[in-house]
Amino acid sequence: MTLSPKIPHLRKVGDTQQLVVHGRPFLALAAELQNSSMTSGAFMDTVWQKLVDTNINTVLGCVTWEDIEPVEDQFNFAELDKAILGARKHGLHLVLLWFGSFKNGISTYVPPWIKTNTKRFPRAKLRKAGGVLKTGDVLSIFHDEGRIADAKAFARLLQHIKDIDGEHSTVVMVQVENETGLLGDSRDGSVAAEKRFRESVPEDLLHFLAQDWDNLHVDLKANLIHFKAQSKSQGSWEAGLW
Amino acid sequence: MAYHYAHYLEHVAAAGKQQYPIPLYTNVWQNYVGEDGDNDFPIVAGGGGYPGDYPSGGGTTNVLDVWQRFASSLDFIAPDVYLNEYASSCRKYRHRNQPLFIPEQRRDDYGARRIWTAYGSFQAIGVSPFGIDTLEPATNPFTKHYGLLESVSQIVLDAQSRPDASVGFHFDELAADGSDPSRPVVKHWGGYEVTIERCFVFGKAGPGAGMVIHLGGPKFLLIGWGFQVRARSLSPTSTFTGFLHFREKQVANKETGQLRTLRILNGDETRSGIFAMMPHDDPDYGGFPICVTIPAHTMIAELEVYSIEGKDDV
Repeated sequence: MTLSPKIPHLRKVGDTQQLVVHGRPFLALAAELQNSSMTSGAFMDTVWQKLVDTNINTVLGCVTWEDIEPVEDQFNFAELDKAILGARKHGLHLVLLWFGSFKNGISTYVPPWIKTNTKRFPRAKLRKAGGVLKTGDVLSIFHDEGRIADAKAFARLLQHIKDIDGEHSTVVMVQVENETGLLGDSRDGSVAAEKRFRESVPEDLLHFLAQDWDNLHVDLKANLIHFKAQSKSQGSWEAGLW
Repeated sequence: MAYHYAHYLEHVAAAGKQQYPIPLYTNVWQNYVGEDGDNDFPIVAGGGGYPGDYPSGGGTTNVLDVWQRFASSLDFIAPDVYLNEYASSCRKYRHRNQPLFIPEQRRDDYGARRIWTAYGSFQAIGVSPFGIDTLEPATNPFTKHYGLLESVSQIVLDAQSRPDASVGFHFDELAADGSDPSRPVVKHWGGYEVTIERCFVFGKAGPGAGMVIHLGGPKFLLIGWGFQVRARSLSPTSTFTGFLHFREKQVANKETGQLRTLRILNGDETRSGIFAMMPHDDPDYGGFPICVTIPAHTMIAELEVYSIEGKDDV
C-alpha cells in the first residue's frame, strides 16, 4: 500500500515522528470529550464553539460500535457525519476513538446482537475465590467471532472516513479501542483460555524476547529474569513465563 | 494476556488500515500503584497494583515491547497519564523512539502546566485533557496554555525535529508551609550551563510553565511564564558570563514561526543582568514598595549570553 502524502500520516524527524496534516507538520493541541458527547451531532453543535474558544485544534471523541452497527451488517454513520461536518465547519480536527470490543477493559459498547449472543461471542470468565467463575462484562479474546466482527465494523468505519473525509483531513488519527485489558482477574479463566494457557508459549514470542533482549523495556526485563536465566526457554504459559 | 490482546487489536487495526491508512494507536490505562505513582487520592477507579486491578494485558510498560512487536499496524502505544508521574510516563512511552501522544490526562492547572514537558522535552505529537466539554473557556486553564502554544506551534515543531534542542518544565504552587515542590532544571547547551528556576518576586512566588529552546550557540528562546533563566559558561577559562541581549518577542508570522522584537528587556527585567525573567501574570509584591517586577506580556523572549575568556586587564 502506498501512503498518500495527501492524507494524515507520521513523518520521521530527528529521533521522533511528527504528525503531518495537509502536508505540514501539525502540533495537536487536543482535548477529549466526555464519553457520550459525540454520539449526538445536535449536542455537539452546542459544544464546538466552546472548544474553539479554548484554543483547542483537535478534538478526541467517540465512535461506538453500538451506534454504527446496531443490527449486524447494517451500518449507520449519520451522527458521525454530523460530528465530522461540525468539526470541519469550526476549523477543528478530530481523533476518533473507536469504542469497539473494549472500552476501559470491558465490552459495554458492543451492539445488542453481540451482547445477547454469548454462544457466538463468549464472555471472559473471571476466576473468583472458591473456584467460582464469574461471567465478565467483556468478550473473551480466545474466540474468533468477536475479533472478526470488530475488524469488519472497524474496516467499514475507516472506509467511511476515507469516503467523506479523504479530501479534507478533518480526521487525523483513530484510536483503536480504549484502555484494553482484562479487569477483575489477571487472565481469562474460560475453557478456551485455559486450553490456550496450557499450551506452549508461542515460538514467535520467545524468539522475539531472546533476539531483542537488549532493546526490551527495563520494566519487561525486570519481569523476565527467570526467562533470561534459561538458555533454552520453553514451557506452557502457566508453568513458565507469566 | 498482552500477547493475545495485541493480536486481537492487530487484527482490527490492520483491517481498518487497509481501507484508509491514517495513523492508528491505542491507549493504555496505567498501573497507578507503582514507583512513579503521583497521587494523594484514594484509588476509586484506578485499581491497585496487580494485573486485573488495572486492565491486564493492556500496553503497560512491562509489556510495551510485546505490543509494539505484535500489533505493528498500530503506529504507537499511548499512555493515559492521570495518577503517574508525568515526565517519567512521557519518557517510558518514547520507548524505541515511538512518538508520544497522551490521549487522556488531567484537565486542571496541575495537568495543564505539565504539558510543556510533553511538547518540550519529549517531542509530543499532542496531549489531550479528558472531559473538556464540561469546562468553560474563561476558566479552563488550557485556554491560556494552548493559546500560547498555538501561536508558537511552528517554532515548537522545528525544535522537536532537532534532538535535545528544547526542554519543557513547570513550577507548581508553593506548598502551604512555603516549601517548593518543584526543582530547577539544568541543561548544558552551546558551552553554557543554563538553569531554569521559578521566577523571582518579592512576595509569594506563583506557579509557572514553559519551554526553553536552544537556538544554537549562545542563543535561547524562552516561552512561558513564571520562570527565569541564568547562564554560566562551562569554559574553564571563563571569568564572567553575562547577558548580551534579552528581547521580548511577538509572533510576526505564525505559519513560518517568524518573530519580531517588541521591547528590549534589561534593568529590572533582568534583575540587572542576573536573571532573564519570564514573569508571572500577577507578580506578588509582598508589601515591597518599589514596583520592579512586571507582569507577563507576550510570554516569548530571546536571550543571548556571552562569556569573557581569560584575563582582560593586563
